[in-house]
Amino acid sequence: MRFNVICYLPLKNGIKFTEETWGLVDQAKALAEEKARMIAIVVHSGLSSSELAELPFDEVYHVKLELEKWKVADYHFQIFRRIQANFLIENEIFLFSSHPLYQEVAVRSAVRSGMPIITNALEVTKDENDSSTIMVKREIYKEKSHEFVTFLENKQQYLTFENTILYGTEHFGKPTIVQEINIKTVANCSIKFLSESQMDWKELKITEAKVVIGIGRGVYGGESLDSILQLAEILNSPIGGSKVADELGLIPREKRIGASGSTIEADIYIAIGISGSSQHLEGIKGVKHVIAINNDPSAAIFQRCDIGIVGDYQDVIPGLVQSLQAERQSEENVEHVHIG
Amino acid sequence: MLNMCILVKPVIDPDSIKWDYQNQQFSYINNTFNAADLQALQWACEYKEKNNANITVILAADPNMVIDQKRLLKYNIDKCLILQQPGLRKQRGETARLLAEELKKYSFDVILCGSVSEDENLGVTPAMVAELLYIPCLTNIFQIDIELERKWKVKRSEERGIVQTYEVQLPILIGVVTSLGRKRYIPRYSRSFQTRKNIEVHELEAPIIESNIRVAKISEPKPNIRYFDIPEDSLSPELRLLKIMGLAQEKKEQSGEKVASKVNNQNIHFISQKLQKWLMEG
Amino acid sequence: MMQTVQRDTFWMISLDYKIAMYALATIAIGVFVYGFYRRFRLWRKGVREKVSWNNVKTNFHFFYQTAIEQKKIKRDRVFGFMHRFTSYGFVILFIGTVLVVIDYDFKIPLLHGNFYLFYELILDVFGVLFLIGLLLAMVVRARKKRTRLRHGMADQAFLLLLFLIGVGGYIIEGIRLSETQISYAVWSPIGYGLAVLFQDNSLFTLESYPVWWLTHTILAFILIAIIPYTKLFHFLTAPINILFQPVKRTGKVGTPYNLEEMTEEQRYESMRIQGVNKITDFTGWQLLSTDACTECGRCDSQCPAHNSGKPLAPRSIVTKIRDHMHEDQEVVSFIHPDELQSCTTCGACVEACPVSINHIDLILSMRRGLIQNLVIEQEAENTLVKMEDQYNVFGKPWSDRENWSKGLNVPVLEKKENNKEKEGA
Repeated sequence: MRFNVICYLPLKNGIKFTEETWGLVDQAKALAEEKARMIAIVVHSGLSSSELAELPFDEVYHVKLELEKWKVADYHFQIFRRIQANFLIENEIFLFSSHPLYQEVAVRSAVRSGMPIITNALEVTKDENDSSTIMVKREIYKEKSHEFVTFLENKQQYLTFENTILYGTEHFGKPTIVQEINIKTVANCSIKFLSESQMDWKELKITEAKVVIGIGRGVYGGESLDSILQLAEILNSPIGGSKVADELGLIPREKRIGASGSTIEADIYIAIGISGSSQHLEGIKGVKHVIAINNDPSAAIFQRCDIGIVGDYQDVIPGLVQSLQAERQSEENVEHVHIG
Repeated sequence: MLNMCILVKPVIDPDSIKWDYQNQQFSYINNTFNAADLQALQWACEYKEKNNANITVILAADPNMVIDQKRLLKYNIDKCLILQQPGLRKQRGETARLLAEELKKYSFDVILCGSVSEDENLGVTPAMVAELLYIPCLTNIFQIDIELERKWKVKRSEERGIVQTYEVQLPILIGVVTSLGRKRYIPRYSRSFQTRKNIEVHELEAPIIESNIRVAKISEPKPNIRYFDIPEDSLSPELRLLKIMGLAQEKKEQSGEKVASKVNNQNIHFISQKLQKWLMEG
Repeated sequence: MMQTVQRDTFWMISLDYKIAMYALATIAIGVFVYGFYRRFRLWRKGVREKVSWNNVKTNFHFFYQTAIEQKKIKRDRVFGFMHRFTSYGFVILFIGTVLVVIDYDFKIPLLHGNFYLFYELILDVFGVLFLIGLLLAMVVRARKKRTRLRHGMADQAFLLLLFLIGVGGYIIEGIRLSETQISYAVWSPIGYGLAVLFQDNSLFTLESYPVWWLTHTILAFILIAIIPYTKLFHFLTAPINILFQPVKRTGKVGTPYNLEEMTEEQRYESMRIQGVNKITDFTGWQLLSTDACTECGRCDSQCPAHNSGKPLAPRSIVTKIRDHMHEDQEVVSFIHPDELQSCTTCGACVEACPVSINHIDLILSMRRGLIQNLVIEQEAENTLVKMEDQYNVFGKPWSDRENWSKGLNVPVLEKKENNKEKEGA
């Protein structure tokens, strides 16, 4: 028995496909059998038609929604129900991401239709004997145990994936149907999206930030850290440090990065005056891009970094700050919703 | 005066529970309440102190589960209702129906509960209850500010420090997370002796609706395998291992090219351009 | 001629003066009693606490050591001498006055013959000690040698008042002895010495005698009248506190309640558990103890919190409670929670206090009240929360308790069947 795989694609701010999107696509592909239809539902607030026409699905249905409404799950829910009404109930499985915006839609739809839903799935495997039964792995009790759950009902199934496991690379395809659907949504006075803002770098945790600055022994020595603070302001990055920096009193205990401190998951890490001992590198092992500034050309951090500069940070940082400021000023003064 | 309802779930303490590998079952079981639900209750009590409110707590539990009633009574609640449904443990996801049935009998201005319970990690109940009662809901809220009595401002936190702010009108169901507030201590013998009489226990006799989901197996935590940079097969096993560890030779050789030894404007400009490029990536 | 050896009370005092004295006496005693009653009424407003005879019996030895031997005051050598001289002197002189009242007003002839001679000797000697003690105190105060003391005008004034009373007494004795020339005058050595000096002195004559006598009387009555309104009250309240205070002294920081002996209902009702929120939540004995405070400051000087800059000052806690007793206010309005939370309950203040005030008992009662109102110092609150959740102060899972023994083959005594906590889900 084949069933249709229908993906509700997660977007970023309604205008961009992300790793999460492609991750969901990968999961869908893994689930679909040969003769199953792969359908995508995209609710967006500004994707180009070319992007939509290149999605690796059999059918793509897309709806445009203003960004303000896009942020509120209720509108997604209305749109989803309308689209769903068009499908014949054969055998569908609806895939969502577990981000609260989509999870709310999934749960509410499941309740409305009276169909089962499994949330926060980690891994989905097909049963060896019966290919239409799937086994879903979930974590319970704060990752102390895993459970394997399966649907008993076959007509419609709702599944949300734990969004941390959704990652994938871009795929392209040629859908046979790309259809824009105009849906007028009923205004919902109860919930209104106001704004989205980035937390200030002073409050941001180093484990959550996108850019992190790290300071080490090379920074200690009486000179002011003004230039580093300026850099933190521009990049909106919290300042962490190595174990030495903690012991010297430059940073508080919770901002320590390394084997005895926290492991950061930032995209960019700027190491200033850090020698790069293996314990510290342990804390930045997942960081994508590392910039290192150190007086000592033989410092171990230079092995790990993507680009580095040998010199006194007092010379480098002010220059960097100036250069970044110049770039910022040349850009239009758009209110930064968030960096990136 | 607001009528608030808090939905609390009795759970097995997830911090202390352990998987017994020998006997392939859970051990070190201790009953407590979901932390996010207690945070919601604490928030509601703090609200009650400032402005008048009426707080009702509703639980749905399996009769086999021991509920620490004294712990609930320490909070300044007006009414507490325990719905005992046999077979609830197996039919998870159906608690929402029970709660909704009960909630239909009252009219609450706002319903608060935790977004996700720490035991089964479903996160289904809040949205399900809201849907069955036809009221709006917002989950994963970490901050609630009262603008006017019936207009609240709530904040949700996304990854990487991004904060979304919504304005909501009551009636609404709000699902909160544990970072809603600092957990306060309530003394054992605080003067809420009178509320002892207000716990009602309803034993439901109708058999529970069988859910459409079956739990096939519970096991120890299995490893989650993520595939990243898989080294090519052409490399020898040692080189493959080094590459995975991040100590590959090629990276070392490249280090000479990527590290500038002079501090001059050109180098700094190069770095800042790279930095901006990376910032744009995300 | 054989004179009868007896006390010549009211020698050369006219009837007018005598009447004036009795009138003033009544007024002074009236004021004194009223003052005492005022405070007594306030103590009664506190929670009732029974003092059993057993408690008092165990206090006798302590009373001897603290009030009579004055061991705690002896720790400060100079002050030890000072206080013993002053207090013994005062007590002896007071007993002397009582004997005079018995002898004269109740007409029981005590002060006659040899008894009277010894009486005079003892009184004179102790009188001198009294004055020496007062001088010591005044000098130490004036030279600001003890930083723990409060250096107010009133403090020095009390000492001066007592000193003047003492000196006045000697003066009138001197004048009397010089004028009457009785043979046994040597039995009052100082008086006799003064008498010799006063011979042919124009200031200390028979004519000026009534004036001196009246001044002495008035000063004495002023003293009596102001006792209940000032720190001089410790003359009375300190011995009462030492003898009857049901709360035990140094070292033992116990709870004033025993949970095992109380039912659930009682626990909720018990004021001891609920703690102190307003003045009337203290027990009567606790309130009495605050009235015994002499403001000596030994508690402040020994308090480690006070000496390291924390806002706590045990003396101020006691005096604030004493001063606010007349209005039934919330304690938090005049004592800040920080002060109470800085207390480490080390007990140095209780150990140092010469009148046996138990500051810890007061502070902990107020802390209990604070906790009931959820005013808890943050670290302490976090600890309590962790205790409630995981039964240990670190907040680590209670199931990790056995981890130390993993792999060490430590035999375990529990039976698997009975162990409910290890049942599977």
